[in-house]
Amino acid sequence: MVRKSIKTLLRTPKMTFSFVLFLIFTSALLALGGNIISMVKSGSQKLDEVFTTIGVVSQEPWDTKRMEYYNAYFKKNEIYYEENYRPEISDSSLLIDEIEYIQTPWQRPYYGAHMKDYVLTRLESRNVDLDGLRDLIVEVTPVEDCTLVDTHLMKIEKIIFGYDSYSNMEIEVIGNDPEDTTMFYKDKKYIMCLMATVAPKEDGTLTHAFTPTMAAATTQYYNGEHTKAKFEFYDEVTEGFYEREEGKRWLELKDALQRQLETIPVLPADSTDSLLAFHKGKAYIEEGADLSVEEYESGEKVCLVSQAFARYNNLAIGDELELPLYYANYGTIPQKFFYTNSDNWYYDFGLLNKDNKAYPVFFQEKYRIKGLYTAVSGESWEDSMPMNGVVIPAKSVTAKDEDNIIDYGPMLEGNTTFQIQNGTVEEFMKNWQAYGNTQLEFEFYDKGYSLVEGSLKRMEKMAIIFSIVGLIMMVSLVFFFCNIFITKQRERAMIERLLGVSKKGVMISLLTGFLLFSAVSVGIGTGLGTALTGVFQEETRTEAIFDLTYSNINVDEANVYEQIPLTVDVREVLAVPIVTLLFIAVVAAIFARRIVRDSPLEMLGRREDL
Amino acid sequence: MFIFRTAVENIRRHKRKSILFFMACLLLSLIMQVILINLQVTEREYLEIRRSIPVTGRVTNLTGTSSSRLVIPEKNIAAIENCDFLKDKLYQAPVWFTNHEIDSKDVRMNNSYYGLATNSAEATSYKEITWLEGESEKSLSDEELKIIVSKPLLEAENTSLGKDLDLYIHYQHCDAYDVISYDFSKQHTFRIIGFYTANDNEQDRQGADILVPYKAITALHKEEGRRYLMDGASFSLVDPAEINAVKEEMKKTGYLSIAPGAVPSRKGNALLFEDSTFIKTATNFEDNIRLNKIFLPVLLGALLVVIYLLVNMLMQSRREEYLLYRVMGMRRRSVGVLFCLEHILIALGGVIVSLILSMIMGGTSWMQGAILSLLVLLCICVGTMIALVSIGRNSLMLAVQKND
Repeated sequence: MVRKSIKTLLRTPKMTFSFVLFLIFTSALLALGGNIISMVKSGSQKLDEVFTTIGVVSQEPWDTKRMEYYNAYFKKNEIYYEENYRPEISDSSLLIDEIEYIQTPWQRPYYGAHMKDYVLTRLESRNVDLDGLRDLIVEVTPVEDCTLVDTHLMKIEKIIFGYDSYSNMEIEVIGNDPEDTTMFYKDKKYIMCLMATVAPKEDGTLTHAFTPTMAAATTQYYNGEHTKAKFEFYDEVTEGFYEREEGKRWLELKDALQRQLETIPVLPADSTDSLLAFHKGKAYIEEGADLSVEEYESGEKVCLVSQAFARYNNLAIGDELELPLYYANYGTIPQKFFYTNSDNWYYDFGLLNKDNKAYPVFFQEKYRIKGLYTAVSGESWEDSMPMNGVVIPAKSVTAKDEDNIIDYGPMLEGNTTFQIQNGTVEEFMKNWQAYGNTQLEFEFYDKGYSLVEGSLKRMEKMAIIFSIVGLIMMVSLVFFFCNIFITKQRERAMIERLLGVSKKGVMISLLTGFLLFSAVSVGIGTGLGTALTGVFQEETRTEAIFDLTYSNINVDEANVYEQIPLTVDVREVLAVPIVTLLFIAVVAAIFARRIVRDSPLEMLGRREDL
Repeated sequence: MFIFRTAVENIRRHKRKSILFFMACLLLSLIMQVILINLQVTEREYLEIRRSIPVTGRVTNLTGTSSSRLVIPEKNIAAIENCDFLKDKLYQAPVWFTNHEIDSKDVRMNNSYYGLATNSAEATSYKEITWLEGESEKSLSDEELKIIVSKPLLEAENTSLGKDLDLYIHYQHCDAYDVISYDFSKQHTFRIIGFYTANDNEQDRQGADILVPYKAITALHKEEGRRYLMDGASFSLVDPAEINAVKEEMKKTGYLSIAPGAVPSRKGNALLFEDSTFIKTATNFEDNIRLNKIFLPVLLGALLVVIYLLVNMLMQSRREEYLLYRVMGMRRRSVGVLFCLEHILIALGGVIVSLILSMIMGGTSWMQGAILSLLVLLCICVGTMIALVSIGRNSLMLAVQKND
């Protein structure tokens, strides 16, 4: 019966050849479409492993005031704009039911760690004329009775803190409050905390000048409130001054200034990627390994250290680094103070707490160095790394920093980040606009996820075209050829039945050849489709089109396409031909059954009528 | 007219076959349109991103930590200057002026004017520049001794636009360790060709007092047998797609890539391109266009084969009808025209509907769609004619006998 069935098909060689050719082509299209869809699916899954979408949030000021102040430097009134951020919006206000976070928003502080016995890399480009320390505590005597509304000469009597080269110098001192008309008398001695700058002399030439520094202020944030800032940058020095409370404050300030010079910034994080510099590729692990998700989650005592800091201190992977943390700064980002390429650094926070004491260490632990990172200069403060920075898991700091908050401010792009599902930025913004606070501004960084996702979507679109063409053609072909190879064999089937062949036998005679040719064709077609998929895969893994020399793409990013291997699931490859063959078998069986079900005599009668 | 009427009648009579053929033509044409749209949209988007994603570059030190206060060798600046693929070229270096003679060593501490030798007014943060008639930003590319000054300087010097101003230039000396010092000064007369003002919103008050053409300062230094080196340089690409050519030129000049582990220095001998967004996006598009171009001919060829086979099959199924027309006395050519017309009418309907659908999908233009439709129609015609030749070979007597 099987041979007869095949023989019948071979009697119409052109038609059979067309059928085989069509089926091969259609199966190839279906296999190609199915394989690419499978590849895109696997690629999409990998995307979520490779890419992360982080959002940064910053608070808009509640109001902005146009202010005027007297600039003693230029000897004229200047205009500036004072932005009011208080009360600060808490990071918890971002937690609304409609938004799902992978990592919830957190206003990240940076900790100050006192590293007395370590060598700290210094600023690379420092103003040559100010050469070195800008801040000093000095005992001075005014050359003449004066106020500090304008610049006045004062003679340095004693240096409490700062470079000795200033000894006995006469320096210009400028106040910063034009309403402070306190008199300074030439027969009295004063102690002052000043910052070196440059100012014009009366004859027009420039000279060293000194202005008050914020280091002497108190900016502690305690019990959820800002301590009322004390900005006492001078005091009169009298007999027994340093034994009294006000004198001890100056000695504390001296210690605090010295300690700050020996301080490195420690960045607690939920993931390395949540630090913008790392996320944007401006910083990357050069040696060792990144901290793992598990280490971040369990708060293990491991850290990432800047390559330069490690080099200066002979630190290697696996070494232990003891971090005595003594303050937490929520008010600004560490890059502004600990920056590699600026000589404009200055204190915007005070070094003494509300009790006029230097902050005590609140947490001290040894951390194992797991990786050394390198950072290049970012496009902004926010995507740079501070000098001598150390990254630790946030959960590893088990002590509370509430008594050691040196400053507190609004959420900033550089200190508040969160992670959301890839590709959900629009949904996030829609929900935020409906339910959130309009005083907050967001920016999102997805490492180019949207671009790669777009590419995969286009690939998927192509695959869908292949599949639809294949599917429609398959359905049409199967019905068309079933009609030709089965329905048109009605007379043969009738004769076979009249010759005593059973219904089952007739079915076999009608179907076997057809199904055999179908199976072979589908097999060849699937093979061809899989081969074409290989070509497709090769084409998606071509070498870089663009020269990456001088590029700001870091090594990890450059290999992003390599990180998304487009693999085909074998089960899905096999599913396509199996389903195709099943479909052909079912349709062919229905066509054959319709013929076999009829009575041969009835059929013969119909034939006679014709 | 008779043939046209008969063709329409035949289409109606063979309703099922006509619908099947119509659907096939519609589908095949639509697929081709969609592929073409996809390719065109991708190519169009790619052209757009080449315009919309800027690629900028800047000279940095070897560690990549600094792109200002550098010492940039002259040949490195010349490479940027001579590169035709670059635009918005900006070089700058400080130059100190005084209106009286002083010891140059103290120039930064005395009552001096901080100037920038540059080729572009972009070097200052103050954008509102009032130019002397006939002068423009191009004047900064000259070698003439012209200056643009800040308004406070103009007032302090009690001078005005278009007048000459005598100023002492303090000459640079760059030692073997790339440390810049100033050791002597010389008076020159500069023509004031513009002044700039800062408005209240400009908080950056660190801008230069004077802008002067860098070529002029370089020439003055050369006259004294000195080198005047730029301390910062940046640029952007005219066409980001030419990035490989630009990088090739820069490599030949000797520019290095950033090596973060290197010893920090002030030498501006490395380049950093802000090109990650462009490269990632463009690579994506190039990949897609390449894939589309590889698979488009394959798919087109396959679709054309399908069209031919479909037409052939449909014709073969009507072989007896063809022979009947012939037996009835119709000439071979007339029957051929009749059958061709039938197929063309159906195919025309299919391609027109597909054209409309593709226009609704918003991709291809009428012209391109029409060309593609014509191509489909041509294939159908060719397929029909080949099939007709094949049918025509059958013997009429055979057909008559078979029907008997």
